[in-house]
Amino acid sequence: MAQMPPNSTQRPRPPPAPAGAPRPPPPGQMGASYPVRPRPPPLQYPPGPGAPRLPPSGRPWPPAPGQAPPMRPMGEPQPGMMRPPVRPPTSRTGSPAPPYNPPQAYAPSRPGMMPPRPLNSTNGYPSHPPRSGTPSYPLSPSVSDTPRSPTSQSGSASGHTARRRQYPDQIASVYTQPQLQAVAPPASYSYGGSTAPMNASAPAQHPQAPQYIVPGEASAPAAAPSPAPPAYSGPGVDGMQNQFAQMGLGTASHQAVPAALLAGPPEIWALEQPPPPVELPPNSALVHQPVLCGPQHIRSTVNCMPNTPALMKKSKLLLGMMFTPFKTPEEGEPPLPVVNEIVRCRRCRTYFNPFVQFTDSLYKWVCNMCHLKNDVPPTFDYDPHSQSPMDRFRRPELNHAVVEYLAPAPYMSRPPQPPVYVFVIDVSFDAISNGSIGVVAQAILESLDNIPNPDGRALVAFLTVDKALQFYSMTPESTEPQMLVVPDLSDPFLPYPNQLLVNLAECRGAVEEFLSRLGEMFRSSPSTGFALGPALVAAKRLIQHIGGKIVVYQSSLPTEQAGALQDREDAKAAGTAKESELLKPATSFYSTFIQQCLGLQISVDFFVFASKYVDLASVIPLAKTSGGSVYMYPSFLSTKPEDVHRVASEVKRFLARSNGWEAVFRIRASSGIRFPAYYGHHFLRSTDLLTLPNVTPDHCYAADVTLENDLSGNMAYFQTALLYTSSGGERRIRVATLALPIVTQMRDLFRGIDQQATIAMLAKKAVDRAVNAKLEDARKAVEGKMLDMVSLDRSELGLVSAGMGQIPVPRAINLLPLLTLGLLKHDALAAMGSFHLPSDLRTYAITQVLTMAPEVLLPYLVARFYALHELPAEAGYPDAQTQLTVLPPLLNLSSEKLVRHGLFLLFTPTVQFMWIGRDIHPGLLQDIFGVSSYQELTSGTFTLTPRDNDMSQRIHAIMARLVSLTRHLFDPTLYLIKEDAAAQLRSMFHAHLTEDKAHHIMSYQQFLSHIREKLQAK
Amino acid sequence: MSWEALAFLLGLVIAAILMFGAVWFVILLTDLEADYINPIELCNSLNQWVLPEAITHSTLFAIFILNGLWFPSLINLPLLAWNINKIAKSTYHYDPMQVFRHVATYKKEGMIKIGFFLCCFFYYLYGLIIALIHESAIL
Repeated sequence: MAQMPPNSTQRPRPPPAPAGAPRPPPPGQMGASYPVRPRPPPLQYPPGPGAPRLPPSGRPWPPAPGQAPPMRPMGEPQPGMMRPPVRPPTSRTGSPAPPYNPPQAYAPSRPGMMPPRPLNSTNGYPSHPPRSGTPSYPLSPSVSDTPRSPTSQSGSASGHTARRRQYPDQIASVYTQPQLQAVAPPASYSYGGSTAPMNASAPAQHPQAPQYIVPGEASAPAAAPSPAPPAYSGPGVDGMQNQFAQMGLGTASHQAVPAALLAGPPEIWALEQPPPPVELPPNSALVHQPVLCGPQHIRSTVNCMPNTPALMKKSKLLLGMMFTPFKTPEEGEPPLPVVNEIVRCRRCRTYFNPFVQFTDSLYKWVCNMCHLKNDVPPTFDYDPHSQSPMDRFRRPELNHAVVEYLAPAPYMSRPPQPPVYVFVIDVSFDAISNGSIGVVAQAILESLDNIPNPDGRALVAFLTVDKALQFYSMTPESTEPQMLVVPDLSDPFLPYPNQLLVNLAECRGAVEEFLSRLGEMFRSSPSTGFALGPALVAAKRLIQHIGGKIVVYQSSLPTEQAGALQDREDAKAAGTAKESELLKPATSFYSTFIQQCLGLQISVDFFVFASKYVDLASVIPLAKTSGGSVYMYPSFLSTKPEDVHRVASEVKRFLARSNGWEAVFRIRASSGIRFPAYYGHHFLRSTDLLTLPNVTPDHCYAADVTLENDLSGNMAYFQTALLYTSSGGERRIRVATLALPIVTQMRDLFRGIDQQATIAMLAKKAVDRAVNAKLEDARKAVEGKMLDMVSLDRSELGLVSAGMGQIPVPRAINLLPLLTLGLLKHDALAAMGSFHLPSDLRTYAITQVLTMAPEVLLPYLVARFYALHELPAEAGYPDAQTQLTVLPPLLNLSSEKLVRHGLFLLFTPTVQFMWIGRDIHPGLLQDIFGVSSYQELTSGTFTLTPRDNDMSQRIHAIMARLVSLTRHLFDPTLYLIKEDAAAQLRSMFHAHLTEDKAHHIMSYQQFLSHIREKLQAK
Repeated sequence: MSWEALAFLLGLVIAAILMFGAVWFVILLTDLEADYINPIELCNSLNQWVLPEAITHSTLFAIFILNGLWFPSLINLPLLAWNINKIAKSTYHYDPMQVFRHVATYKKEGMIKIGFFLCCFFYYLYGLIIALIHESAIL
């Protein structure tokens, strides 16, 4: 166990000030290294001349005289913070950011016109208003009191051997000595201890990141820039993996867990980090290179498994897995390898995977789950395509963690079904008045070519519903669809049963004719009432022989006959137990109905255009049980172009995305591991088999993981298999295998924590609880679990018990309080006091939390916040290596970050905001919005059109990248929020600033002191 | 035969029926775990017997009360209260979506019920005999 410095050598820390109260900058103690503010980036839009500044905030900048923060020499061109250093302007296809030197000199420069601005705090550019007044003492040290790499001589001399105070110049010198690069991996990456540097440019980046270094503790920078591309992208993880693959596991257990203190603002940059890599022992797989299952397929909350249930219990960690079984490679990613021959274990039916072992001179293989010896099929060394012998070690199923098998006849209970879509469109009065019918019809019409239909087998049917059902009979011969009205709702019969569900390709003319007229068809005779129940019964009858998708476009509350619902919304229920009742179905009609549909392979998806209450909670079991998706557009109006654009693009994406039909999903794991509960939109058919009448790449299924008995061996295995019918009529099995190392020590377990996945898992569990029990229970469970995790046994982990007011935690969970707060403030769970959040919105949020993959869910819970007026030089341009747009550094989610001359972007997957300060530079306005003054802009929804200038293109590139990071799941509406916007708009924006106090929920600092109190009380 | 003996006789029969009912519940739940039955079928078959079971049991309770048999009423009171509570909260139905999460609890409940009805059965038998002896002693 690593030695920790005695408390006496630590710099005395001031007691915590009340949250929000200004604190003096730290006195100039010797050796206190200051939080290094990210240096001003080269591109800045200064405030207009004479602009007053907002009250100063943030950490002190510039540092007090005489205390040079660890920086590179003045005058050097400076890179943007947390990003790779600036490349020479010529190396980029675009232009380098034009610096704005003189205050009035806003002139968009041509490429290469000006060099990056030198670091010069006296250049007259109040790009960073002097800040003071917020917690300013060093926080979150990176306690890398881990043994340094033996190669780094001076590293051990200055940084490690004696826990001496680290002077700023020493810290700085660490970065300037090339041989020391190896000793300072970004702390948060120091997963296994000593590693190679992340990349060659790492030393240059370190000084740019906000660092909170407690003297005497660390030489590694606290805040690591993320040199690897942000989480979600494969290359970074792979790159790290290669490095980690080089080191053994043996070193890990001697090192303490890198620590962080919970005090001061959260280290928000950690949100962009990839999950900790899976450290597999060498030779874990049959082939030499490590075979990894990316987090986009299977993401575990802890990237290792405890060996005993006792260790699991003691660690108090949340153990869970999130599977995105149908994650389809996007453009640019290599397609999944396809295998023809299925080899499975005789006993446990595990599919052949890279982690099995060959024995008996390669004639048998040993299953890695149940250790049964199986015969290797004779054709295993033979390539049927080239009809020649092949090297079995080059077979795709031995080299890839995710492969697709072509399933033979035994995997089919009937011929593979074609794609079937039944569109149930609400044409009642509400739908006519909000104009959704026309928008939907147009969007479907435009995506007819994009519906996955490779062999022209797709069937469609249209059903419009108000007080009666209207069927449309279409024939290949005529382009004139015939409307057939069925007013009898009690037992809706199908008129002309053979002409309602028609082949899309054959009846294309009639379908197009129908869709182009649908928008106007009902305008003349509006009828109130919406017979959803009878429509569903009729739709089921239409496709019960074949299965398929029922897509409901709903605008009003179902009021007719079976499944009729009442308006039970009650604003007075806010904050009471009754509020939770509103999240439960009012009738069992829909759950019973969908359970009858499951065996028929029917799924239901919803698009809800709700200007008023539609009781989503009652109809949601339809989508929840059958694996359907839910989209919702509150207060939709077809007169708002932003609404129309969003609906159209999401409807089109929904129809164009690949679908897996009549799917089942099974999860296997090494013996001793159980999955007691599953979360997501599915039906649990048996303890490990999920029925998914329809599976989409967007949906994620989570499972709790428990240990029943001790695990043997040094690896635990998880294998998922998704059997589905592709839209092309092929029966396929997608198999993903994840291997996790089994650890025996608590500290090793803590190194593997993926805090983002933990919160995603916690969120899914919490919303499940909110629906099945009460909201209040769910909130308490979330808070309780978070407290459990931070109240861990510190001595076991080698953490110093810090002075008063500080909570040392492993660095791997440094964001846990912020993420928990984000979850508690999210619409899905938020306690709003007496303010009533419409229960439809809450139900919708719950649905999304339940289905989103973790990489989409995280920004949904905790927004991403960027300053657009001071972009670093490389932000908004494609990265030289990955060609992905570089994002600007993340800002803390606090209104303290807002400045009057600023332009900020707040991004969530469903909605994004641009906040504009009143003293914003007119040049910036001209560039981005094409207006010359602040007054010309109005707050509210806004369509941002790309303009022909560098700045606008960069911002569009950044926004496009953010949307692509959330898998294009939604097309978020953009709101402009001017500094003096209406209170309602501003509160919409401020609700996403997680670190601020909102409604009745604590601010981040209050939350920390709340945690502190609870921990002391324990 | 006195009313008391009749009540015990009825109790004897009902306890036996309810016990076999509970055994059947447990068998079905075990089948579910072993994947011999799918949750929708299971819930459909179980749900139609939940209310009849509760009603039968409360009838028995009423018979004991009306006969002034305080002790047998008392031992049946907890189960009655538990049934009423479940029905009042409308959590008495087995939900196919949730059944896998609670299958262990349901099985435990089933086993406890079996034990309870078995004990009751012998107690009612004893009560019946005592009542009959008492009757013959009077005659």
